[in-house]
Amino acid sequence: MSELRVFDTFSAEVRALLDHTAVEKSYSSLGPDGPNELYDFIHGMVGGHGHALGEIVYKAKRFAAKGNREDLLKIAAWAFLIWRFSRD
Amino acid sequence: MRKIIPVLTLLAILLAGCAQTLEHAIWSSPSGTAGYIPPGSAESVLERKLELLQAHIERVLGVSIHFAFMQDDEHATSEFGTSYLEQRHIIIGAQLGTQARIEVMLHEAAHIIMPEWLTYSEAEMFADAVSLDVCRRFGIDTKATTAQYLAKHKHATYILQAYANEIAWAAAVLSGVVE
Repeated sequence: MSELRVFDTFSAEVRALLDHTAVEKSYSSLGPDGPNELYDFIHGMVGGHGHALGEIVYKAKRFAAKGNREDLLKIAAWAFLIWRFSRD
Repeated sequence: MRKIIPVLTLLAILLAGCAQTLEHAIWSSPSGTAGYIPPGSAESVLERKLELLQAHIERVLGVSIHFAFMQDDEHATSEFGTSYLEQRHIIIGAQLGTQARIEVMLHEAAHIIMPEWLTYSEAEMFADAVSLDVCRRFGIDTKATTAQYLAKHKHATYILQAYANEIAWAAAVLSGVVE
């Protein structure tokens, strides 16, 4: 993680996370704003955002216990996906 | 009157228990999909999950999955499902219902990614444990059928502890949530 703790760095790290996670799991990525087949799969299987919310809680607890700042980026990435795919 | 009091007390406890069970179930249900689902449409939800799961497994494991009747297939090891590691191919019994297809598909997919040195009973224990774990994550209760099936492999239950990490990893891969 970059030592420069500014918002642009944070958002760039979250963007990279959103891009790489899909590719690592054999899903294509057209960027954070493109189609997200992996999230569609998980959302469809769980029947909602329950899994994503669980990931946030899990990573928040893990950050509280271990203090790894990457967990904060993962929380932000999951929060973005929920924000993006939630119905009004 | 004295005889009635214990009966009434027992009834009150039972009713309170039912209320707590309902309250727990309500809180456990995701708010995002809250609403009345008419009986019968649960099957279509399950069919959608089967479609999603098949596409996911084919993509992530690089396998092809087909449904067929295998009674007359001499290469099939079971009439319910068979996986061919070399050919990256899985066949699921076409006679199975939707939930059974999901269970068997996950079981056969687990065979593709399990440690290759397991014995037959160990492999069955591993694969069904993975299937159970993934189904549980996606709100499908298969514990009874899993336990019933694995009862003939009781001597291999040590696999559940010895390979707990590998089972969890395989379940995470098939769930699409491995970190």
